[in-house]
Amino acid sequence: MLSITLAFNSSSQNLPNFPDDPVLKAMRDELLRSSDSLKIPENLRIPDFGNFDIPSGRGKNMSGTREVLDSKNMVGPDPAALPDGPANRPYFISYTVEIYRTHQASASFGKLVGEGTSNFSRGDVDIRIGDYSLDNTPEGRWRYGSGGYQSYIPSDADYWGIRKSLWWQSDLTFKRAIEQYSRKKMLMKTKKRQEPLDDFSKEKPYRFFQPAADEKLEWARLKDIIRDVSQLFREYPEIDKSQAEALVQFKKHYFVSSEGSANRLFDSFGSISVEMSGLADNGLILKDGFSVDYGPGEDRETRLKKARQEIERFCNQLKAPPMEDYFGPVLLEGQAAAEFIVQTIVPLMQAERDPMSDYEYADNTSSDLKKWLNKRITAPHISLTDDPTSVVYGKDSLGGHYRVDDEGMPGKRIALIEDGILRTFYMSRSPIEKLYGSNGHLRGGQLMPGNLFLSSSQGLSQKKLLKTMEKLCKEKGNDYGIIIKRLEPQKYSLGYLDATLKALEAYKYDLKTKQLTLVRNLALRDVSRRTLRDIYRTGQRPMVYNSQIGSGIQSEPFAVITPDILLDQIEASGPSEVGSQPPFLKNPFFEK
Amino acid sequence: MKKTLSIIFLAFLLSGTAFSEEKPSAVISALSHQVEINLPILQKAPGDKPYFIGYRVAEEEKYTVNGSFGAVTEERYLKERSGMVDVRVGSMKLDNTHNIREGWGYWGSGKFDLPAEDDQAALESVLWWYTDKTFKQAQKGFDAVKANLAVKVEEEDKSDDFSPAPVVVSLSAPARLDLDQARWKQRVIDISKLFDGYPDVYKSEVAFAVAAENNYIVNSEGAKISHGRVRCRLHLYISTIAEDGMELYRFEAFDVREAKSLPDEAALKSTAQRMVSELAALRQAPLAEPYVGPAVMCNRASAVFFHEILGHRVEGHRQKDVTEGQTFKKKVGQKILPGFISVFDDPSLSSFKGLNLMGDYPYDNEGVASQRVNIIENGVLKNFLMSRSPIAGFGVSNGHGRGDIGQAPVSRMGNTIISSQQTMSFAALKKLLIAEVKRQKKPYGLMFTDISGGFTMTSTYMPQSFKVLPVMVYKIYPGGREELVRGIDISGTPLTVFSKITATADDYDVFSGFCGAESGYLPVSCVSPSILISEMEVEKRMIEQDKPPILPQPMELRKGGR
Repeated sequence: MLSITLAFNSSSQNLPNFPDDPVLKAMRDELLRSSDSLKIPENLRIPDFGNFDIPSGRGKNMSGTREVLDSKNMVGPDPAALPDGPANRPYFISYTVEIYRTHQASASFGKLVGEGTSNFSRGDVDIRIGDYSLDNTPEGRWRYGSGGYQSYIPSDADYWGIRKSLWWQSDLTFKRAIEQYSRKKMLMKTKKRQEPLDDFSKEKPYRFFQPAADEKLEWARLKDIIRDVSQLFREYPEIDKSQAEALVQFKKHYFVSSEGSANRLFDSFGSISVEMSGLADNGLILKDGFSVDYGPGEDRETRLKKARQEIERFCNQLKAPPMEDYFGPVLLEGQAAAEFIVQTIVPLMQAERDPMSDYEYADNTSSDLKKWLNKRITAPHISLTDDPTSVVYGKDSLGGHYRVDDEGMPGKRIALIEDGILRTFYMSRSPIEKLYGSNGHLRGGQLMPGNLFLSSSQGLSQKKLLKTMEKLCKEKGNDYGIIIKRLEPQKYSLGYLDATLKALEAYKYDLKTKQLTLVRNLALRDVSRRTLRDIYRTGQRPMVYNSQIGSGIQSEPFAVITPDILLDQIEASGPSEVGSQPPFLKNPFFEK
Repeated sequence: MKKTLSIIFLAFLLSGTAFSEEKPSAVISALSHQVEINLPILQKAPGDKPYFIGYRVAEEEKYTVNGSFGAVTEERYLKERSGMVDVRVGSMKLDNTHNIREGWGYWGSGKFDLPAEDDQAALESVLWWYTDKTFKQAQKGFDAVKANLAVKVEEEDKSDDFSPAPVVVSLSAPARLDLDQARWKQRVIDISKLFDGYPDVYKSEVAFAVAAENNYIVNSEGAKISHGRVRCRLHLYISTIAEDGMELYRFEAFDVREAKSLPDEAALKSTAQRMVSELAALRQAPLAEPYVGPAVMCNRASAVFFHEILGHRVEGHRQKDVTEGQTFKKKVGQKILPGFISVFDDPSLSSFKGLNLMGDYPYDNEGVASQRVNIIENGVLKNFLMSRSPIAGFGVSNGHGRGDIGQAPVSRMGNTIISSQQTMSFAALKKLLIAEVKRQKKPYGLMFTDISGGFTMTSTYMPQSFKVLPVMVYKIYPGGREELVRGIDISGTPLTVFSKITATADDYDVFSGFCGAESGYLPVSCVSPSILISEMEVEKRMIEQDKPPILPQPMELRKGGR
């Protein structure tokens, strides 16, 4: 078993002090009180977070946290109410509070469909009973924290309100934790791990307090932009349904733990996205979408020109012939190369321990590459690195930059694959076989990429890459190759490797005429971890692809920086669905 | 053929007398144009022909702010417009909406987004697509109906699927939201502070919501309706946990038409103090045991009681559905309540005896004017609440076809009024209860002063019983002593319990809330006086098993702070 020695007292002396922030103060004070009340051993927690004033006005004005905590006003829990024995004492408590402000609006055919604003907050309490080697946390994918709660937690940074909410949730979580711990100990009597593993890695406390940021919002301008873009669809009768949506989110994230970690982050998220659908010749409904740059650097004319190009590209898709069955080389360009990595490599980089459970069908979705650590999994020219500390790449900003993850750990640069050899995985504080310690990649409750860089020591120019595809096609007796420029993005979870990847923009490349022919309904089939070995060559010029997992306010952004990717061989096919009857009615606007 | 003629006749007759106060809005124009152009095209499509297209649009502009112990927990603003379309193929006699026995059929378009800004072209760019899709579903649904009829036994109720209705053209000015949000936010903070400083109040919520709602209906029969209203609700909620783990709470809601009509500070403070006192008393109250004996159901509790056990069972469509218990289907003309009690439902009322009602509307969701329905006259069942889905003996709608946007309307309650011709003061009713306790030689009677809600099962798949969930229950001893108790629910079957009502008081009060059923959550009110029931059964309620908080709450750091 691997371990590191903790020395909270000495390490805490170098940690930055808490800023003057009522939310952090409330969280810290409630944490200290809970730690005292629930008797977390002194050697496992930071002795103090410093002294400050308790906000006055609503409560009695008191200063000095320890003084407050030790004062006669403090009423401890009834000792009889606490379950017996040190085994039922927590060794770790953490609190997370997130305060949101969101603005959302959508438009269709030039008019607003709806708009809404909301201010709300959510919290999370993690209480671990037992010790680092064995605690109450359930095994498997869904073991992080209490799963989030919204139990009347103030959205207006109210000191006492936040404390009261955390107190309530702590009490509930503590009770659940005791029961979980009891069940887990019973389970351990009947199951045995192949290799002993700690439940929680020991880590040095880390603090990061982002300076307060302004929440600038030009909401009226964004609403005008979605009106403007959605108005364009009045020019395209081929499009049956369309909607433009603007979403702006501001999030304040706060975290404190009994080990002494703490952070405050100010995030903002903004997007304008357009969705459209239409009927292809054979009656299949096709859907696509694009995002719109709403930054001040983009003038209206350029913005609309780009949007028109996207709409026209989709209109061409509707008229394109369907793809037929195919087996051979495929060239993934730009977004398609990045999405290929997101949907095939990223799920394999999320290694979690095999769950121990009495359930026959326990949730075992962990990477099946765990036994391949330090072995070759791709061609030797391929390397894969994740670096959330990077902010920009060339002139492009990187969406996957962050300072700390859900567990308050700093996001670290990691070499996942070096010259084809698997070196590590995305890691939380939950150790797995042969790997101990967080690398700060637990975000939004799942192991996530930050900025993922794919590189090759044998990158080819675009021209040579195409020539290579031609050569591979000829070797396999194919008249044409496939070039995919866009794949349907993975929106909801990075935890599962889907065997089918759907193309949004794909072309047949005719070996004789060198002509590209747009095809529709192309899907790559039988994608598996073995597909990684089919990465034959890559391009030389990486492209930055910023995306996110999850919808709206709970989304987690990331970036993939990759050159084009040439797959040696893969199966592709056309539409598998049956088309529907064409409409009897028409949009009256185009009937004039 | 005869029916078709009668519809045309009604349309001609009534459209002449309809009124129009407003110019047609973009919504009405878009819906009208869609009806006008789509029906002829769809009638030429292959397969079964449509005979009816109906559109509904609902607009909502809503502001909500919630507070807890003096802090804002959530604040939201929303403006949206939604639509739904109903396409009927076949004929009024038999169409795609016909109930499919042991299966599923036509679902309709469901709810879809529409541009909230007025623009006819933008509105129609969405409407045509859903009309086309719904028409195809209707044709498939009608095929399923015909197949189902072919393989199932003959139906007992052979009523038509759709009834004719007067054609209404009534356009009113839209309701708009006019609110000082900052002021109301502060007010919620202030009100929520009223619950601060009470260690036994573990959770509290003060929620303020105000919404301007506008509804539009246009159909191929010629109906064109728009009407709107503002709805405002303030609710107060506090909860605690008893030593035995039971979660206890108090809840009060105020429903008004405009925010300024809400109770003033003094009244709210008094309400809050009463809630806290009641919660503290509940926490100390002993558990009651299962029991059968006489009981007084106080006015608002009685209103919930009647809503659950009578109201849902007189909804017309349930008399036709073979999966329903149809408790009262064959009891029309028979006495089901004491002769001194009458029950009517009148959604055209906005108040009754000075009480604000929430279940009012000028036209139902099928475009039929709301009207009073005398359900029970002097204890005798006379009528059912009807939508445009006829049942044997009741061929037309009486303006109770209701459904949330996206849900097919069915017959539902609006404002249900329980009236009595034989009343007495509440004090006299309590004396009668004590007399009944003595007469039956029971150790005590029960008095239910507040009920949180209830539910009833009307399906034949389940026991056709009801359950009503009391919050405040008192044991009334023969000597007059009152003792607050907790931990019991009222259960029973309707026919038995109705026969045991022996007296009523004159203290009418209203219970308003949102009633959930197959056509969605709808605002309803029920008014009732307190009633004496000679025999009522109560059963033990489930008790949550969590201990009260082990951790001391932070409030205790603040002793003397307020």
